[in-house]
Amino acid sequence: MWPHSLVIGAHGSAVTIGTDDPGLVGFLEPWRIDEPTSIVDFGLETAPAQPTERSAPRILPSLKHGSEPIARVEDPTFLRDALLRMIVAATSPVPDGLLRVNGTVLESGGVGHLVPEPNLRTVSHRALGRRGITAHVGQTVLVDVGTLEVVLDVPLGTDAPGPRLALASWWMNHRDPTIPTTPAEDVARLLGNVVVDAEPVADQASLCSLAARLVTSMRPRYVAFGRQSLENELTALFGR
Amino acid sequence: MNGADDVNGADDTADPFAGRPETVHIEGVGEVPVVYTENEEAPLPPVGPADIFVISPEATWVVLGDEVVVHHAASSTSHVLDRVAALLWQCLDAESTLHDVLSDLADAFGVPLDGIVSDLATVVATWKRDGLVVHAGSSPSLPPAGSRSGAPAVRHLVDPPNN
Repeated sequence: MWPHSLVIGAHGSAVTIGTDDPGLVGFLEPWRIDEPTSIVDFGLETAPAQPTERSAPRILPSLKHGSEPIARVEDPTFLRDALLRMIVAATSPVPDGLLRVNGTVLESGGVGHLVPEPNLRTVSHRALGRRGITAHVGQTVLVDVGTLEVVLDVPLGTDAPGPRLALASWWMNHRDPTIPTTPAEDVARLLGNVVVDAEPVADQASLCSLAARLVTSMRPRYVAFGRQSLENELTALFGR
Repeated sequence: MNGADDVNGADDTADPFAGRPETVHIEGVGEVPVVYTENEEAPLPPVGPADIFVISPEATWVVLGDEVVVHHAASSTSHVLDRVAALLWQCLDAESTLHDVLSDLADAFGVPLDGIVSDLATVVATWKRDGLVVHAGSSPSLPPAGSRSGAPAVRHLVDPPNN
Protein backbone atom coordinates (compact mmCIF):
# COMPACT_ATOMS: atom_id res chain seq x y z
CA MET A 1 0.00 0.00 0.00
CA TRP A 2 1.43 3.33 -0.99
CA PRO A 3 1.28 6.30 1.37
CA HIS A 4 0.23 8.44 -1.58
CA SER A 5 -1.43 7.41 -4.81
CA LEU A 6 -2.84 9.62 -7.48
CA VAL A 7 -4.01 9.48 -11.05
CA ILE A 8 -2.48 11.83 -13.55
CA GLY A 9 -3.44 12.54 -17.13
CA ALA A 10 -0.68 12.79 -19.70
CA HIS A 11 -1.09 12.82 -23.47
CA GLY A 12 -4.65 11.57 -23.11
CA SER A 13 -3.77 8.60 -20.90
CA ALA A 14 -4.50 8.09 -17.22
CA VAL A 15 -1.58 6.82 -15.17
CA THR A 16 -1.76 5.79 -11.54
CA ILE A 17 1.28 6.69 -9.49
CA GLY A 18 2.10 5.41 -6.02
CA THR A 19 4.82 6.95 -3.89
CA ASP A 20 6.05 7.71 -0.41
CA ASP A 21 7.43 11.03 -1.63
CA PRO A 22 5.16 14.01 -0.89
CA GLY A 23 7.42 16.17 -3.04
CA LEU A 24 6.60 14.05 -6.06
CA VAL A 25 2.90 14.30 -5.30
CA GLY A 26 3.22 18.09 -5.23
CA PHE A 27 5.14 18.11 -8.49
CA LEU A 28 2.49 15.97 -10.21
CA GLU A 29 -0.39 18.08 -8.92
CA PRO A 30 -0.85 20.01 -12.22
CA TRP A 31 -1.45 16.70 -14.02
CA ARG A 32 -3.74 15.19 -11.40
CA ILE A 33 -7.13 14.17 -12.78
CA ASP A 34 -10.30 13.30 -10.96
CA GLU A 35 -10.23 9.56 -11.53
CA PRO A 36 -10.46 6.80 -8.95
CA THR A 37 -7.07 5.26 -8.29
CA SER A 38 -6.69 1.74 -9.54
CA ILE A 39 -3.74 -0.62 -9.64
CA VAL A 40 -0.59 1.44 -9.47
CA ASP A 41 1.16 1.67 -12.82
CA PHE A 42 4.39 3.14 -11.53
CA GLY A 43 5.67 3.46 -8.00
CA LEU A 44 8.53 5.38 -6.43
CA GLU A 45 9.71 4.28 -3.03
CA THR A 46 12.29 6.69 -1.69
CA ALA A 47 12.54 5.53 1.93
CA PRO A 48 11.89 1.79 2.14
CA ALA A 49 11.49 0.18 5.54
CA GLN A 50 14.82 -1.24 6.61
CA PRO A 51 15.32 -4.66 8.19
CA THR A 52 15.83 -4.63 11.94
CA GLU A 53 18.82 -6.97 11.84
CA ARG A 54 21.95 -4.89 11.70
CA SER A 55 23.69 -7.41 9.48
CA ALA A 56 20.93 -7.51 6.90
CA PRO A 57 21.57 -5.71 3.63
CA ARG A 58 20.11 -2.25 3.36
CA ILE A 59 17.15 -1.87 1.02
CA LEU A 60 17.67 0.80 -1.60
CA PRO A 61 15.03 3.17 -2.93
CA SER A 62 13.26 1.68 -5.91
CA LEU A 63 11.29 2.51 -8.98
CA LYS A 64 8.55 0.02 -9.68
CA HIS A 65 6.37 -0.95 -12.59
CA GLY A 66 3.31 -2.26 -10.80
CA SER A 67 4.79 -4.15 -7.89
CA GLU A 68 7.91 -5.17 -9.80
CA PRO A 69 11.07 -3.18 -9.01
CA ILE A 70 12.80 -2.19 -12.21
CA ALA A 71 15.61 -0.21 -10.62
CA ARG A 72 17.11 0.09 -7.14
CA VAL A 73 19.43 3.04 -6.74
CA GLU A 74 20.67 4.92 -3.72
CA ASP A 75 19.77 8.31 -5.21
CA PRO A 76 15.99 8.93 -5.10
CA THR A 77 16.38 11.98 -7.35
CA PHE A 78 17.72 9.73 -10.10
CA LEU A 79 14.70 7.44 -9.71
CA ARG A 80 12.27 10.32 -9.65
CA ASP A 81 13.74 11.63 -12.90
CA ALA A 82 13.49 8.15 -14.39
CA LEU A 83 9.86 7.90 -13.30
CA LEU A 84 8.99 11.20 -14.99
CA ARG A 85 10.67 9.99 -18.18
CA MET A 86 8.83 6.69 -18.04
CA ILE A 87 5.49 8.44 -17.72
CA VAL A 88 6.27 10.32 -20.93
CA ALA A 89 7.44 7.12 -22.62
CA ALA A 90 4.26 5.31 -21.63
CA THR A 91 1.86 8.01 -22.75
CA SER A 92 3.27 10.06 -25.59
CA PRO A 93 2.51 9.14 -29.20
CA VAL A 94 5.25 7.69 -31.35
CA PRO A 95 6.43 10.27 -33.89
CA ASP A 96 6.29 9.33 -37.56
CA GLY A 97 9.33 7.51 -38.76
CA LEU A 98 10.39 6.34 -35.31
CA LEU A 99 9.95 3.03 -33.55
CA ARG A 100 9.33 2.70 -29.83
CA VAL A 101 11.15 -0.44 -28.79
CA ASN A 102 11.22 -2.29 -25.49
CA GLY A 103 14.54 -1.83 -23.80
CA THR A 104 16.81 0.33 -21.70
CA VAL A 105 19.63 2.45 -23.06
CA LEU A 106 23.09 1.94 -21.66
CA GLU A 107 25.25 4.92 -22.51
CA SER A 108 28.99 4.57 -22.73
CA GLY A 109 31.51 6.62 -24.63
CA GLY A 110 28.79 8.90 -25.97
CA VAL A 111 26.88 6.12 -27.73
CA GLY A 112 23.88 4.05 -26.71
CA HIS A 113 23.27 0.33 -26.46
CA LEU A 114 19.66 -0.81 -26.36
CA VAL A 115 19.39 -3.68 -23.88
CA PRO A 116 16.35 -5.71 -22.73
CA GLU A 117 15.14 -4.00 -19.58
CA PRO A 118 14.37 -7.11 -17.49
CA ASN A 119 17.98 -8.26 -17.85
CA LEU A 120 19.13 -5.15 -16.02
CA ARG A 121 16.85 -5.38 -13.00
CA THR A 122 19.37 -7.18 -10.86
CA VAL A 123 22.39 -5.29 -12.12
CA SER A 124 23.98 -2.78 -9.78
CA HIS A 125 24.04 0.72 -11.21
CA ARG A 126 27.17 1.35 -9.21
CA ALA A 127 28.84 -1.60 -10.92
CA LEU A 128 27.76 -0.23 -14.29
CA GLY A 129 29.18 3.14 -13.33
CA ARG A 130 32.54 1.57 -12.55
CA ARG A 131 32.61 0.40 -16.16
CA GLY A 132 31.79 3.87 -17.42
CA ILE A 133 28.21 2.92 -18.25
CA THR A 134 25.19 5.07 -17.49
CA ALA A 135 21.83 3.32 -17.51
CA HIS A 136 18.97 5.48 -18.73
CA VAL A 137 16.36 3.64 -16.71
CA GLY A 138 13.22 3.01 -18.70
CA GLN A 139 11.29 0.25 -20.33
CA THR A 140 11.00 1.59 -23.85
CA VAL A 141 12.92 3.97 -26.02
CA LEU A 142 12.42 5.67 -29.34
CA VAL A 143 14.69 4.57 -32.17
CA ASP A 144 15.20 6.79 -35.19
CA VAL A 145 15.74 4.20 -37.87
CA GLY A 146 16.80 6.81 -40.40
CA THR A 147 19.72 8.12 -38.38
CA LEU A 148 20.30 5.00 -36.25
CA GLU A 149 19.94 6.97 -33.04
CA VAL A 150 18.04 6.41 -29.84
CA VAL A 151 15.94 9.35 -28.71
CA LEU A 152 15.82 9.53 -24.94
CA ASP A 153 12.55 10.56 -23.37
CA VAL A 154 12.46 13.84 -21.50
CA PRO A 155 10.88 14.06 -18.03
CA LEU A 156 7.22 14.98 -17.73
CA GLY A 157 6.89 18.75 -17.82
CA THR A 158 9.83 19.29 -20.13
CA ASP A 159 9.18 20.59 -23.63
CA ALA A 160 12.69 20.26 -25.04
CA PRO A 161 13.30 17.52 -27.58
CA GLY A 162 14.83 14.37 -26.19
CA PRO A 163 18.59 14.00 -26.42
CA ARG A 164 19.87 11.63 -29.05
CA LEU A 165 22.61 9.06 -28.90
CA ALA A 166 24.08 7.09 -31.76
CA LEU A 167 22.83 3.52 -31.55
CA ALA A 168 25.91 1.34 -31.24
CA SER A 169 24.14 -1.98 -30.69
CA TRP A 170 20.77 -3.37 -29.86
CA TRP A 171 20.15 -6.58 -28.04
CA MET A 172 17.31 -9.02 -27.88
CA ASN A 173 16.80 -12.03 -25.69
CA HIS A 174 17.04 -15.47 -27.19
CA ARG A 175 17.06 -18.74 -25.32
CA ASP A 176 20.01 -19.88 -27.44
CA PRO A 177 21.92 -16.99 -29.02
CA THR A 178 24.23 -19.41 -30.84
CA ILE A 179 21.41 -20.39 -33.20
CA PRO A 180 21.81 -18.24 -36.29
CA THR A 181 18.82 -16.17 -37.28
CA THR A 182 17.73 -14.74 -40.60
CA PRO A 183 16.93 -11.05 -41.08
CA ALA A 184 13.26 -12.00 -41.39
CA GLU A 185 13.37 -13.74 -38.02
CA ASP A 186 15.05 -10.68 -36.54
CA VAL A 187 12.31 -8.45 -37.92
CA ALA A 188 9.58 -10.71 -36.54
CA ARG A 189 11.21 -10.67 -33.10
CA LEU A 190 11.69 -6.93 -33.27
CA LEU A 191 8.04 -6.43 -34.16
CA GLY A 192 7.21 -8.36 -31.00
CA ASN A 193 9.24 -5.79 -29.08
CA VAL A 194 7.79 -2.71 -30.71
CA VAL A 195 5.34 -0.66 -28.70
CA VAL A 196 2.31 0.31 -30.74
CA ASP A 197 0.21 3.31 -29.81
CA ALA A 198 -3.11 2.57 -28.16
CA GLU A 199 -4.76 4.37 -31.04
CA PRO A 200 -4.95 2.30 -34.19
CA VAL A 201 -1.80 2.79 -36.16
CA ALA A 202 -2.71 4.48 -39.40
CA ASP A 203 0.13 3.03 -41.34
CA GLN A 204 0.97 -0.43 -40.12
CA ALA A 205 3.00 -0.95 -43.27
CA SER A 206 5.47 1.63 -42.06
CA LEU A 207 5.92 -0.37 -38.86
CA CYS A 208 7.06 -3.38 -40.88
CA SER A 209 9.28 -1.38 -43.17
CA LEU A 210 10.87 0.54 -40.29
CA ALA A 211 11.60 -2.72 -38.48
CA ALA A 212 13.09 -4.18 -41.65
CA ARG A 213 15.16 -1.05 -42.14
CA LEU A 214 16.60 -1.26 -38.65
CA VAL A 215 17.46 -4.93 -39.03
CA THR A 216 19.08 -4.48 -42.41
CA SER A 217 21.05 -1.48 -41.10
CA MET A 218 22.17 -3.19 -37.91
CA ARG A 219 21.59 -6.78 -36.94
CA PRO A 220 20.61 -7.36 -33.31
CA ARG A 221 22.91 -8.85 -30.75
CA TYR A 222 21.22 -11.84 -29.17
CA VAL A 223 21.78 -12.54 -25.51
CA ALA A 224 20.55 -15.43 -23.42
CA PHE A 225 18.27 -14.79 -20.47
CA GLY A 226 19.92 -14.49 -17.10
CA ARG A 227 22.32 -12.29 -15.26
CA GLN A 228 25.47 -14.21 -16.20
CA SER A 229 24.74 -13.91 -19.91
CA LEU A 230 24.26 -10.19 -19.53
CA GLU A 231 27.48 -9.96 -17.54
CA ASN A 232 29.33 -11.79 -20.32
CA GLU A 233 27.94 -9.44 -22.92
CA LEU A 234 28.83 -6.37 -20.88
CA THR A 235 32.34 -7.68 -20.44
CA ALA A 236 32.64 -8.35 -24.16
CA LEU A 237 31.50 -4.82 -24.99
CA PHE A 238 32.89 -2.71 -22.19
CA GLY A 239 35.52 -4.81 -20.45
CA ARG A 240 35.63 -5.63 -16.77
CA MET B 1 -13.82 -20.04 -34.65
CA ASN B 2 -13.17 -17.61 -37.42
CA GLY B 3 -16.56 -16.75 -38.77
CA ALA B 4 -19.52 -18.11 -40.64
CA ASP B 5 -17.64 -19.08 -43.77
CA ASP B 6 -14.85 -20.78 -41.89
CA VAL B 7 -16.62 -23.62 -40.22
CA ASN B 8 -18.73 -26.61 -41.02
CA GLY B 9 -22.36 -26.00 -40.16
CA ALA B 10 -23.58 -27.36 -36.86
CA ASP B 11 -20.13 -27.66 -35.33
CA ASP B 12 -20.05 -23.89 -35.16
CA THR B 13 -22.91 -23.66 -32.70
CA ALA B 14 -21.91 -26.54 -30.41
CA ASP B 15 -20.77 -25.54 -26.94
CA PRO B 16 -17.30 -26.99 -26.57
CA PHE B 17 -17.60 -26.82 -22.79
CA ALA B 18 -20.99 -28.50 -22.49
CA GLY B 19 -21.17 -31.00 -19.66
CA ARG B 20 -18.31 -29.55 -17.67
CA PRO B 21 -18.98 -28.35 -14.09
CA GLU B 22 -19.93 -24.72 -13.74
CA THR B 23 -18.51 -24.38 -10.26
CA VAL B 24 -15.76 -25.94 -8.21
CA HIS B 25 -15.45 -26.20 -4.44
CA ILE B 26 -12.35 -24.70 -2.88
CA GLU B 27 -11.78 -25.49 0.77
CA GLY B 28 -12.12 -22.42 2.91
CA VAL B 29 -13.62 -20.46 0.03
CA GLY B 30 -16.65 -22.40 -1.05
CA GLU B 31 -18.16 -22.79 -4.48
CA VAL B 32 -16.55 -20.59 -7.08
CA PRO B 33 -17.54 -20.34 -10.72
CA VAL B 34 -15.27 -21.89 -13.31
CA VAL B 35 -14.43 -19.90 -16.39
CA TYR B 36 -13.47 -22.07 -19.35
CA THR B 37 -11.42 -20.61 -22.15
CA GLU B 38 -10.41 -22.11 -25.44
CA ASN B 39 -6.70 -22.72 -25.21
CA GLU B 40 -6.37 -24.84 -28.29
CA GLU B 41 -5.97 -23.50 -31.76
CA ALA B 42 -9.17 -23.22 -33.69
CA PRO B 43 -9.71 -25.85 -36.37
CA LEU B 44 -8.55 -25.01 -39.83
CA PRO B 45 -11.24 -23.75 -42.16
CA PRO B 46 -11.79 -25.66 -45.38
CA VAL B 47 -10.13 -24.35 -48.49
CA GLY B 48 -10.68 -25.65 -51.98
CA PRO B 49 -9.11 -25.43 -55.40
CA ALA B 50 -11.70 -22.93 -56.59
CA ASP B 51 -11.11 -20.55 -53.75
CA ILE B 52 -9.54 -17.19 -54.40
CA PHE B 53 -7.68 -15.47 -51.60
CA VAL B 54 -6.33 -12.03 -50.97
CA ILE B 55 -4.06 -10.71 -48.25
CA SER B 56 -6.07 -9.29 -45.38
CA PRO B 57 -5.99 -5.52 -44.94
CA GLU B 58 -5.04 -6.24 -41.33
CA ALA B 59 -1.81 -7.86 -42.47
CA THR B 60 1.26 -5.93 -43.50
CA TRP B 61 4.33 -7.58 -44.81
CA VAL B 62 7.87 -7.01 -45.90
CA VAL B 63 10.22 -9.06 -48.06
CA LEU B 64 13.70 -9.81 -46.74
CA GLY B 65 15.71 -11.89 -49.16
CA ASP B 66 13.81 -15.10 -49.84
CA GLU B 67 11.65 -14.71 -46.78
CA VAL B 68 8.63 -12.62 -45.91
CA VAL B 69 7.61 -11.25 -42.53
CA VAL B 70 3.87 -10.83 -42.09
CA HIS B 71 2.60 -8.69 -39.25
CA HIS B 72 -1.01 -9.00 -38.18
CA ALA B 73 -2.00 -5.75 -36.54
CA ALA B 74 -5.12 -6.95 -34.75
CA SER B 75 -3.38 -9.77 -32.90
CA SER B 76 0.06 -8.13 -32.81
CA THR B 77 1.60 -11.30 -34.13
CA SER B 78 4.35 -11.71 -36.67
CA HIS B 79 5.00 -14.66 -38.93
CA VAL B 80 8.12 -15.55 -40.85
CA LEU B 81 7.42 -17.26 -44.17
CA ASP B 82 10.12 -19.41 -45.70
CA ARG B 83 11.01 -19.32 -49.38
CA VAL B 84 8.11 -21.46 -50.59
CA ALA B 85 5.52 -19.91 -48.31
CA ALA B 86 6.80 -16.46 -49.26
CA LEU B 87 6.21 -17.23 -52.93
CA LEU B 88 2.76 -18.59 -52.18
CA TRP B 89 1.97 -15.47 -50.16
CA GLN B 90 2.90 -13.16 -52.99
CA CYS B 91 0.74 -15.15 -55.42
CA LEU B 92 -2.48 -14.48 -53.51
CA ASP B 93 -3.64 -11.69 -55.78
CA ALA B 94 -7.42 -11.73 -55.39
CA GLU B 95 -7.71 -13.11 -58.94
CA SER B 96 -6.02 -16.50 -59.14
CA THR B 97 -7.67 -19.61 -57.78
CA LEU B 98 -5.77 -21.71 -55.32
CA HIS B 99 -5.55 -24.37 -58.01
CA ASP B 100 -3.87 -21.93 -60.40
CA VAL B 101 -1.49 -20.68 -57.73
CA LEU B 102 -0.43 -24.14 -56.61
CA SER B 103 -0.07 -25.30 -60.22
CA ASP B 104 2.26 -22.38 -60.91
CA LEU B 105 4.31 -23.16 -57.82
CA ALA B 106 4.50 -26.85 -58.77
CA ASP B 107 5.79 -25.83 -62.20
CA ALA B 108 8.25 -23.39 -60.69
CA PHE B 109 9.71 -25.98 -58.37
CA GLY B 110 9.48 -28.83 -60.90
CA VAL B 111 7.43 -31.03 -58.61
CA PRO B 112 4.12 -32.80 -59.15
CA LEU B 113 1.10 -30.80 -58.09
CA ASP B 114 -0.12 -33.66 -55.92
CA GLY B 115 3.10 -33.51 -53.96
CA ILE B 116 2.55 -29.97 -52.71
CA VAL B 117 -1.20 -29.58 -52.56
CA SER B 118 -1.73 -30.92 -49.07
CA ASP B 119 1.01 -28.92 -47.42
CA LEU B 120 0.40 -25.63 -49.16
CA ALA B 121 -3.38 -25.79 -48.91
CA THR B 122 -2.91 -26.34 -45.19
CA VAL B 123 -0.66 -23.29 -45.10
CA VAL B 124 -3.35 -21.19 -46.76
CA ALA B 125 -5.99 -22.58 -44.42
CA THR B 126 -3.78 -21.61 -41.47
CA TRP B 127 -3.39 -18.10 -42.83
CA LYS B 128 -7.13 -17.88 -43.29
CA ARG B 129 -7.76 -19.09 -39.75
CA ASP B 130 -5.26 -16.57 -38.39
CA GLY B 131 -6.79 -13.70 -40.35
CA LEU B 132 -3.79 -13.13 -42.57
CA VAL B 133 -5.75 -13.79 -45.76
CA VAL B 134 -9.40 -13.49 -46.61
CA HIS B 135 -11.58 -15.28 -49.08
CA ALA B 136 -12.03 -13.15 -52.17
CA GLY B 137 -14.33 -15.43 -54.13
CA SER B 138 -14.59 -18.77 -55.86
CA SER B 139 -14.28 -19.87 -59.44
CA PRO B 140 -17.45 -21.65 -60.63
CA SER B 141 -15.40 -23.84 -62.96
CA LEU B 142 -13.63 -25.66 -60.16
CA PRO B 143 -14.93 -27.81 -57.30
CA PRO B 144 -15.79 -25.84 -54.15
CA ALA B 145 -14.09 -26.16 -50.81
CA GLY B 146 -14.45 -29.57 -49.24
CA SER B 147 -15.13 -31.32 -52.54
CA ARG B 148 -13.48 -34.69 -52.92
CA SER B 149 -13.54 -34.60 -56.71
CA GLY B 150 -10.95 -32.99 -58.90
CA ALA B 151 -7.53 -31.75 -57.92
CA PRO B 152 -6.16 -30.44 -55.70
CA ALA B 153 -7.94 -32.40 -53.00
CA VAL B 154 -7.47 -30.57 -49.75
CA ARG B 155 -6.70 -32.68 -46.73
CA HIS B 156 -7.73 -31.42 -43.32
CA LEU B 157 -5.23 -32.32 -40.70
CA VAL B 158 -6.93 -31.22 -37.52
CA ASP B 159 -10.14 -31.88 -35.61
CA PRO B 160 -13.00 -31.77 -36.14
CA PRO B 161 -12.90 -34.37 -38.92
CA ASN B 162 -13.81 -33.07 -42.33
CA ASN B 163 -16.93 -35.00 -43.21
